Formats: sequence, C-alpha cells, structure tokens
Amino acid sequence: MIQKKDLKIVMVLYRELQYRAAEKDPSIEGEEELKKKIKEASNVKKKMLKQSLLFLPFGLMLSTPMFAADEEGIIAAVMTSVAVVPFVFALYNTVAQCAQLDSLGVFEPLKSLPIDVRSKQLSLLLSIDLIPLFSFALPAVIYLLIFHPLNGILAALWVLTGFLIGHTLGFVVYSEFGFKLGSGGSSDLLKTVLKVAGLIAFMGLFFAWNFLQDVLIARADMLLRYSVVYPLSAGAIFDPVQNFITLILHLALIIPLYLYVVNRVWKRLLKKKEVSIRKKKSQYHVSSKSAVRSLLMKDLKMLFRRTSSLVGFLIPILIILPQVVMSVQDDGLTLLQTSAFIFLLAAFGIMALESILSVDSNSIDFLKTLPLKKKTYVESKVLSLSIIPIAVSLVLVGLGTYFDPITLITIPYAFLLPLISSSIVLSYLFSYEDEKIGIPDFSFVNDFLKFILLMILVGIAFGAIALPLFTLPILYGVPLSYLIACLVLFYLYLRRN
Amino acid sequence: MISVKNLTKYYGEKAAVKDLSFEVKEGEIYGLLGPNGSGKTTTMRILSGIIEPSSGRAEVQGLNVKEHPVEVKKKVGFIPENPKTFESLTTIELFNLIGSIRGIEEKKLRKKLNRLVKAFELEEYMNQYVGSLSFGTKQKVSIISAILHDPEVIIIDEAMNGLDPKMAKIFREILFNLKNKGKSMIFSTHVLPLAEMVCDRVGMIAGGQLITEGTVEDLKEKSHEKDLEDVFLKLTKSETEVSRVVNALRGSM
Repeated sequence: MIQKKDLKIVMVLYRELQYRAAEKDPSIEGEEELKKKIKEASNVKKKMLKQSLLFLPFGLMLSTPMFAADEEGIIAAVMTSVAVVPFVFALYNTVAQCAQLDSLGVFEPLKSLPIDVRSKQLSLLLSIDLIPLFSFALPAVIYLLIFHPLNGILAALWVLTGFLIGHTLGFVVYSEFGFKLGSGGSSDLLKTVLKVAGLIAFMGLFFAWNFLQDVLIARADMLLRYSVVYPLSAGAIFDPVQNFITLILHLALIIPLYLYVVNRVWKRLLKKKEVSIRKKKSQYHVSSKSAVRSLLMKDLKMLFRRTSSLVGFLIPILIILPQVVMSVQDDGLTLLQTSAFIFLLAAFGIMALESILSVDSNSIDFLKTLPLKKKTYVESKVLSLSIIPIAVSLVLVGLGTYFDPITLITIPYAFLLPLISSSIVLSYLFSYEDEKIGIPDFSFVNDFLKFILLMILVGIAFGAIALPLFTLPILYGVPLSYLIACLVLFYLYLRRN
Repeated sequence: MISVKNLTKYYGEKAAVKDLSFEVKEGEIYGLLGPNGSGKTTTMRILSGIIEPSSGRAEVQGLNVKEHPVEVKKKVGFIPENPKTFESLTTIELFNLIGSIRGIEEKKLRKKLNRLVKAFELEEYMNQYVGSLSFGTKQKVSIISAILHDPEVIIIDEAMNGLDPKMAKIFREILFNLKNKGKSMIFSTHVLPLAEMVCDRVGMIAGGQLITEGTVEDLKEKSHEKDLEDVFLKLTKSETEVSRVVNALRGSM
C-alpha cells in the first residue's frame, strides 16, 4: 500500500530532479529565476492539472472524428490511435526518466538513511509526468462512457493498460540496455548494431504480431478480423466479451512482468553502475580532430554504449514503421511515398532531443572549463541529432529505389531534412543571448507546448520544401524543393553564426 | 598573470564573494585559503571563465573573464575539487576530445600525453572507462586534462585531496616545474601544511572578503603565530569558536 511517507519521499525526489535539471539550464538566469522555476515545478498537483488541461485540446482533436460520426468503424480507428499515445509516451518517458534518475543519482542521499525506499516509489515518481497524458484519451473515453457505457469502460481500461504496457516495456528496455556499458572491444560495434536491431524488433513487436495475424490467422478464417494485440485491440471494444478476455490476457502477461522488472530496475538503480573493464593492456591511440567532429563522435560513442539512450531515436522509426510495412505490402514504395516517409522521419526525429541533450548532463561542468563556443557546441548537437535519421532515411531511399529506381533522386532529402529539423529545434533551445553552454531543461511531456511549437516550426519549413515536390512535375518540383531546402539550411546556419 | 579588482558575486541576495582584490604574478603560486563557504570555489570558477562575476573585474593574462570567457579558457587549466566528466568515454577518448577542443596538434598531444601518463602511472587505465576509475585516478585524469594544453595559468581547487602521498609529491614537482616556466598558479586548499610547502604567497578569505595576504613567513610574523594553521584560525576568528565547540563536545560525548 502507498503510505503518506512514500508520497513525501516521492515529492522530495521529484523536486530534486527538477532542481538538478534546472540548475544546468543556461537560459535560467540567477538564483531568483531558479527558485521560481523549482517552486512552479515542485507544485505537483498544480503541475499535473496544468499538464492535463494542456493535453486535453489535443485529445479533443484526436477524438473529433468519433464525435462527428458515431460509427463502430470510426470509433475503432480513433480508439486505436488514441491508445497509441499513452503507450508511446509512457515507454519513452519511463526510459528517459530512468536514465535521468540514474545519471543524476537522486537516490544517493537516501541510501544511507533508515528509510524503506522501495520500487513502488520509483513508479510513483515516474507517474507524476505520466498521469496527465490520460487527457489525450479522456474526450474519447468520456464520449464512449456517455453514449456506449460498456464499451466506454473497456476503452478506459485499455488506455490504462496501454500506460502499463508502455511503462513496463520502458523498464524492460532500461533494465536490459541502460545499466551496463560495453567492453569497448572490437566486437562492440556488432553488438551495438544487434542490440539496436533487437530494440527496433522489440518495439515493433505489436505491429509484427498484427501483421502475422493478418497474414496467417485472418486468411485461415480462424478469428475473422478481430484484433487481439494492443493497440489494435483497443479498437475492438464492440466485441465486449472477446475484448474483455483479450484485456485480461494482456494484464495477465504484463502485471507479472511489471512486478518483476520494476524490482530489477530498482535494485540496479541502487547498485553501483556496472562498467566493463578491459583486463588486457593495449596501446592507446592519440588523435586530434576538429572540435565539432570530436564532440559528435563523443555523443555517438556515449549513445551507442548506453543503448537505452537510443529509444528517443527509435520512436520516429516506430511511428513510420507500420506505414512503411503496409506500403511495401501493397505495391512497394513510390518516390512520393519515400519522400513523405523521410519528411515524417526527420520531423519526428526531434524526439531524440532529450537523449542528445542528456548525454552531457553529468559532464556539463567539465565542458564549461573548455574553450568551447556555443556555436560549436550547437553544431555538434545538430549533427548528433541528425545522424541516425539520416542513416534510416538512406535505408528508406535504398528500399524505395529497389521498387522504383527514380527514388534514388531523393537522396539529398535524407541529408537535408534531418539537418533542417535538428537545426530548427536546437537553434530555438539555444537562442538565449548568453554565450555560455549548458543543457536547456526540456522534456516532451513537461514542455509539450514547446514541443508543439517546435513541430509547427519544422512543419512550416518542411511545408515550404514539400510544396513544389507534391504540386509540380518531378522534373521541376524536385530541384526547386532541394533549392528551398538548401536555402533554409543556409539561413539556419547563418543564424547560428 | 591574474588580476582581481573589487570582484563581487551574488547568488540571489547572498554575496559569495565581496569586493575581493588580489594579484598573482607570473611564475607565482598563490594560495587562496579560507573556511568552508568563504568564496574560494566561486572565485576559482570566475577566474576560469565558468561563471560571471556580478561586478568588479577579473583578468587572466590581460583578458577580462566576463568579456572573453572562451579566450580565458584557452589560457587556463582548471582542476576542480570533484572531477566530473564523461564516464562512458575511455581515458584516452577523453584526452583526445580535450585535445581536439583545445586544438592541440596530434604530435604534440601524443608527446605530452606519453610523458604525463607515465608520470601519473596511468598507462593501464587508458582504455578503461572513466566511470570505472577510482576517485584518486579520476583526479589524476583531471590534472592531466587541465595541463595538457600547456596553460599560462593553472587554477587548482582543492584538487590534491584524492592523491596518495607519492602522487601528491609528483604533482607538487610538476607545479614547481610549471612555476619555473613562468606559469601563474592559484591554489585553494584546506591542507595548510601543503599551502605552506607550495605557495609563494597566500591570501586568506572569509565571508567572501580578503582578510590578509602575504608570504607565509610574513603572516606568521604579523600574527605572532608559529604555523599557518594558527594564523588561519586567528585571522578567520575561528580560534574562540573552535575552543567553544571542543568544550561543548567534551561535555556531550
């Protein structure tokens, strides 16, 4: 049971987390501003209410088709997309917050005290940022509770289950990939590639199951078109009996997994970090590259050594993966489809921002002692944020070219678009007047309005670039689109200088 | 050379450093001594270009730290009390990163590293993650990181705490060597015999203000005390406080 004392510890820890993040934010000037920010952030009830109200309009937007046409098919489609939101955010937020808790060592002061600190406090702490996300689903759930009460109850239960699944999988990802550093040996690259592939496969598991269900089960006429896997199962609430059984099965799987993994993460958070030590003495290699390149290499090494930090990069892949699979299944990828996926990947690529910024959270004081200009630091971060979307976009171009060779001409998009979206968000976050470097305090859940603003800015730039591509013949549209993209990138570069 | 004039730094309404003035000449080791919370670390961080002063002027090699923090950092090597750096980089990766950011030529970097790594007995740790190193070894890494670029000014904030006696002696020798090359150094420590051994002049601060400065011998003479610890306790007005606390403890333990 949750006691008052547990809540008190959670509040202290939450306040500590807010303080440590705000302390590193270079845009916060002086003690007074810091105090104000901490005071605001530490009023948990007010903050949760504010966040909930903030997410509500987006929930309304998501649910509008349901209000407009009260049809089972539309309700199923809306519920499926509504159910994805808490799942994705809970997964992402759990991994990101665990990484933050681990690197900031907020539990350290409690270790020596005679307090019974247990894993439930960890979940409680993480749920402060997760609970307001329920607002995304609230309009749809309330609508269903009023007009289809039984189905509404199921919808609410599915949304809560989605939270639990995302939260649990976040713990699984962090416990498997978050604690141990690689050995630094020659086989590390292969291991990392395999780990990343494993992560993508793991996160795409639900879509893969659905694909299998479509191909094998539905064709065998065994279960017709009934969806048994979350989040598609959240849209199947009009088969209440089967749906309830599916829900129970999901919970029967996820609750024991949650109980197991939350304790595992908790124990490992309390333990000293595992760091591999190479026993063999070997010659070290001295090399000196440009500052931007060295900072980029540093970020990549750190990200690939703690694979859990890559989750931010995997979210955009997870978002486009089902659509890519569906397009490939239909008639293969066209030039326009490939371009559209690259645009989407680059736009959602900014979701890795938190991972890229938090890489330096423990070492920012050290970086401040080096003669590093803000411009150099921001440029390295632009490259770090772009590099994985560029690599994935190139894979997409390769795939598109296999189906339609002319798709090869989209290669420049693979480079330009991720660089543009990264430049926009980082120029915005580092737009404070001061020249000092630091880590802007930013999280997608807590700064959702900022995130939407950044998406709008990226959307405007991408809209201008995409307009000639989708409206003019390819011969004129593509070169004009590249010209605009180059101009936008050049403008962003000039702004940094 | 370091020049500090009327330096003041406020954190909110509290002044951490107040109207502080002193100078450190070329080839001089200046000790900054003071009780906890006296403003030593704040002063060191201002001089390293990490934080800005609220008012007053601080210059390093003629550069104003507020106006040219990046240029100042090029000339300064800062060794902090708690070395916090990239724990998932190996030691050599960290040195390579510092070399790149500081623009040290590869050949020079190799030569310098070979000497320093050998001096600090770090060879076997070069391919290990910094996070796996002990506090003392991290401190050695931090020292090398700070002097790798041959800085004109070295700022040392209680940085000898983690070193064993052998390494502390090696570090002292390195400091004397750098001093002979004309480098200016500012050194804060709580270990007063160490300050006595290393520093040409010392300044004592309390409550963010300089209360006295001079050579160790001058200070002893002025305050009629035998060693620096007694001078320190007398000048920081801690003598009576120490006796009161000691007596109180005797009664309660």
